[in-house]
Amino acid sequence: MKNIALKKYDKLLVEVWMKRFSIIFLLVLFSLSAVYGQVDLVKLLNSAGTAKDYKDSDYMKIFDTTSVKMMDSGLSHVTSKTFYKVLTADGAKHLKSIIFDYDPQSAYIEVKAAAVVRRCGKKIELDVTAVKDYPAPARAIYWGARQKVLPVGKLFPGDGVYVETYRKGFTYALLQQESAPGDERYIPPMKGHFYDIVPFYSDVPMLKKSYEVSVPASKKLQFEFYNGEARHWSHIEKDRIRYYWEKKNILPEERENSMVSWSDVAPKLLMSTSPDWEAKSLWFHKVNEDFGSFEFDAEIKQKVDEIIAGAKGDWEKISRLTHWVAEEIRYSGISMGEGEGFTLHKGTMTYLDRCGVCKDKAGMLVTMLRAAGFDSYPAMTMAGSRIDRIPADQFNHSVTVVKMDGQWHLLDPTWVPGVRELWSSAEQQQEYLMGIPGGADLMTTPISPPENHYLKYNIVSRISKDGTLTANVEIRADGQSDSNLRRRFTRRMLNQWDTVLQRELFELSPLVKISNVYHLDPIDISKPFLLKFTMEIPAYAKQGKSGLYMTPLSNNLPLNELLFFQRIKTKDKTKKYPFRTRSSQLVKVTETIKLPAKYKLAGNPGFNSVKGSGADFSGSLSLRGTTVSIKKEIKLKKRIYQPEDWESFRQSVLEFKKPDGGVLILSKGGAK
Amino acid sequence: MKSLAKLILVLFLFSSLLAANGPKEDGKYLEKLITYTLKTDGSWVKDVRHSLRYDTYYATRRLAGETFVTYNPQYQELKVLSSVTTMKNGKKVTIPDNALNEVLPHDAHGQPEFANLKEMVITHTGLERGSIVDLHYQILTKPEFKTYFSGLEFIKDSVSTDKLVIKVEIPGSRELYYHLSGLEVKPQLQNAGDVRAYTFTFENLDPTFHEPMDSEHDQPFLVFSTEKQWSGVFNADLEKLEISGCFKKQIDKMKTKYKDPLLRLVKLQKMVAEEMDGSHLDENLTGSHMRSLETVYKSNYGTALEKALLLERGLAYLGAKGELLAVAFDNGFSENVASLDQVEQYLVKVGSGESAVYLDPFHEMANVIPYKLAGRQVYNITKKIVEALPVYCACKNSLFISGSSKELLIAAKGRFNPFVTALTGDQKALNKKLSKLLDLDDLEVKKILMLKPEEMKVLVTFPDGFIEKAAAGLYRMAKMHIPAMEDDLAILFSRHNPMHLDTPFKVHYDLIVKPCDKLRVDYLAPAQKIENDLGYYRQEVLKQKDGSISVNLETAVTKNLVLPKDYSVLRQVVVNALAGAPMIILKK
Repeated sequence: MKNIALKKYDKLLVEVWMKRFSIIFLLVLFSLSAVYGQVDLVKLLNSAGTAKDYKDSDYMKIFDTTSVKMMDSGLSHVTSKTFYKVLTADGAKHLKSIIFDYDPQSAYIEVKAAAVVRRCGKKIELDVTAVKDYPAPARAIYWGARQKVLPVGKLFPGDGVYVETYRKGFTYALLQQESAPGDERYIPPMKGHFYDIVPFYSDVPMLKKSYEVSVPASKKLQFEFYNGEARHWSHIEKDRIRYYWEKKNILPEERENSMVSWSDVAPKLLMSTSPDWEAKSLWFHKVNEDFGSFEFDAEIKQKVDEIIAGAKGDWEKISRLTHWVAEEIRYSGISMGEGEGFTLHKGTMTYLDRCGVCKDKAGMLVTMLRAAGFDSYPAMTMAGSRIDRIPADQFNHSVTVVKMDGQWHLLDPTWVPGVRELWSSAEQQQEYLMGIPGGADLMTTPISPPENHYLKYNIVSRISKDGTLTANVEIRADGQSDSNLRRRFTRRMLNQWDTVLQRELFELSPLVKISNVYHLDPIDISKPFLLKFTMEIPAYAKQGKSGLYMTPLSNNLPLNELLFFQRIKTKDKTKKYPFRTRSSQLVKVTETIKLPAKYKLAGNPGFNSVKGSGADFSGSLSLRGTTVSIKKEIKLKKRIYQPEDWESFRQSVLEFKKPDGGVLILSKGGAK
Repeated sequence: MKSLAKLILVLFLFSSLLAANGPKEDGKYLEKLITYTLKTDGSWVKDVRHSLRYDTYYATRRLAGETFVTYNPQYQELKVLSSVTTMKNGKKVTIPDNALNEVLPHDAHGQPEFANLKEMVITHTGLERGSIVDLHYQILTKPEFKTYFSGLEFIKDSVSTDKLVIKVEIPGSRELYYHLSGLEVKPQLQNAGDVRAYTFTFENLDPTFHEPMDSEHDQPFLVFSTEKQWSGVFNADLEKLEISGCFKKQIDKMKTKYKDPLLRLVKLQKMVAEEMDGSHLDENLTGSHMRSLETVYKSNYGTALEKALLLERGLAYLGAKGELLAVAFDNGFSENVASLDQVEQYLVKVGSGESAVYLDPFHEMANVIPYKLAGRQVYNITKKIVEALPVYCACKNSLFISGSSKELLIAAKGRFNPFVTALTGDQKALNKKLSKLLDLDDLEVKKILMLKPEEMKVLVTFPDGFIEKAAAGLYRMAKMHIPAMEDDLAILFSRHNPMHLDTPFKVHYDLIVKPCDKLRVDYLAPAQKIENDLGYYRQEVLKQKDGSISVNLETAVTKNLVLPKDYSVLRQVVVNALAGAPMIILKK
């Protein structure tokens, strides 16, 4: 009890000192900023360390400060000051020019000041009028994004580059009034609201990172600092409140194999004046309904009727429409100009263009579902990363929801071309926000059972006296396993399909010969995919003095990239961070190997069963007469795993990879 | 009646066969018309029209959903005259304004002085399987763009072409030099007034097949130019370009630090090739215009030609006279058509005869002899002559590794010799390069016994040895890694295109493995010997009287160009060399 009281007192004392320190710090910062570019920058540069101190880094940031002033309208004025130090010749190449991305429809950026500080202390002011403004390089999305580039020029290790910028606006372009005057275009779509996502992590060493935001006192700013700590204070200043965060000595962290997105686990600050996700959901619903994104014309209605004609039930209609949009609206984004961003292109536009980005494909599906009489809306999600509770805009993807039997169901026309699913299971355990009437809270997509993504190998092998392996291989797959298998073909030109197996099986052995190839049409997703072939590998088994050595094909699987755990390294015994696979998956392998003579199994080549929260494994290996039988089954239970799932996941994979070292040893002299 | 029924049956079977099999190709160019018109004032127009049918999702999504046209707005104007998609039902979809978007060409990224360059992205709308796009655009070029008029057009595409017409119109007073590589088609010549037109017509062209280690210049192409003299394609001001005081200062610093003349050349090459960023922009976007060498150095990036000039002038300042070489592509070069369209890269040659060294101004360089460019045609810009780079046989590109499990002697010649790394004395980098070359972990150089551009001999150790644990009580020695013997040499069962190897090569391992007393030999790989006109593979693993095992593996590929008809012969050697069988199995 005493200790706790003392701790509280300590904390109070610390806070008082922190506040005092903050004021002193601000005064120092002010005085520093007044002389930035002269002595102080040189001092900072010289004391920042060198390439010896920061191995594997080509440059570093000595400081990176951002100061934001939010206006009542939601408009934000942002001043950033960054001081870089070159550590290597590669760093000098990297910093030869500094690029700033922006979207002119919703953002403005200006380089206010820039200077090179030579390691000898000489300061050279850079001419900011030399900054060039041009359309950004782009592929797949052509929304008029631009870049500004500051020419810095020749640098040497030890040199520093100081840059000060002013920005206003936000990342996405949103629905605007036609004649938006002045700063109107830079005001976020949820007028009067502000949000920001501030990474406090970096790929290069950063000695100090700070972020300051001043908001009108009437605004309620909610924030959270995730995955770590930062020095923080807030001050009331007349009719405004200032918030400040600072973190020192940020170093690039080592990533773990197959870990989740770094932003899920790295220190970051999220803030928003938006009260909750429901408010965002309601806004998203309204902005698209008001724009008329989902209105359909007679031509669309006629196409919808044509697509759903003869369908047995509502789910078949939904499936046909989802796959029509997935296949026929190709992914290529052209801008509709004002309104681009969260606003979905009108269905009539996308139907004519036959192309669009995720939001346009989602909108096309909503339009067609509505034309077919369904209740459907768009939703926003974040592919590849987690969305946290603070309602800042953490979205990079748009999908569709449809109401059936009183429930909302997810459909993703962007991620299901060539996939026998309506919602891609590569998006399991992913947060989403529906734009439905009445609003919705943030939700998480469900886990898809591994059985929905089965991958079944049936292998009948024979070893001849000279060690030649002949095998009939049959691979059946569904769900994400199915799409992964089809993709081997569909991602190549038609005239290259004949070479798919040659390329895939070469890894097994360069001596492989392939015959009797049969597969279903990779384009036709009405049935689960089936691939059959015969393969022959000369001198596959090695006849030693005391036995036969061979790697069963079940341990050296053809097209082994189909196994979602294939790239996951089992070397680490524990995991610090969550990890992920493409999807949940069930892999079943059955192999029989006919041997040229009678042998007995050497050692203990059996399998141990594994059960756990990450994965399950079971297997058997037996020898009867001259036939070896191997059965293996592994279940990867989800897409995103927590560190505690690693134990069963790793053990299951290790068992799957048995026999040890991949070699099955058969001793001479089996029972007759 | 019977025959009618038969006919219907045949038609039905035929149509169902077609339906079952689907399209054989992703699409087809129904027609392609490319016209170049050189005007008397030196300006020219390139007019492109095509009619392309899309038959698969691959075609709409990956092959030609967009058309990309790069140009330099300072000297060129692009006019997209029309783009209309005819859908399967006959509906015409005219491209909307928002489907024409200009972006920065990716090769100009991060280079402020090239930020004015443009890439027009024409997004084809209304695409579906069976639809046809009719596109028509023109590029108008001012006479100041280039000192001469030229062009290069590949004849075949990744889908078949029913009809291709390439027309080049020039004023009657000018000469046109052209070379059609890979096909024998004569142009139709027409003189109308003061205009002479060369029309090349091609019909029923097969599609190209992309294969590993092929060269796009093996595909038929037409190159043309109004210049016959190679000196005419380079800006006359090249010779006047001077390097800046700042660059001179850096050279002086380097000169003070390093005394060895060859090391100085290599260090200067690194300053230009590695410590400055490289721009992949070429004459098609920059025209004949050169930035001053002072600007190039200060900007810290340069095009291939800019860097070549910077290096050549830097060498002159260092007191080493260099010759500037423009190296032609690996196939189809025509000396009689002077055009930078035929140039792949630049080199700077210092010295002459067998002691000549070649410095690469653009890429990281392993050696000062260009083994991988052996035999290439070059235009010597300094001497104003066309010549060829020396040719090196497999024996000049060889690797011989001998010794026992923990200590090896490596004799690396030609392409295998990391001469530059060894010369610069970076021990860590050399360890890393040799580890990578032999695919052995933690290899460490003990002593360099010989170091010449042609050959390096080095004594190395590596802690792990060749024997590794395979399973409980079982040990094995895997087959040694054979550098240059890549999967791509044999990954396909047959080929449509010639295969280009970096060099012919030869690798020989002669090792003695001494298993510890507790292990007994259970399996030794059988002897193998495959020899043919394109190479050989031999292996012999023998137990010696003292209990050690000798492992001898020799392989070679003797040509660097393999024609499709010879591919199976080479493949026989390669697949055996690559097959990853164990050499030795040992049991406890």
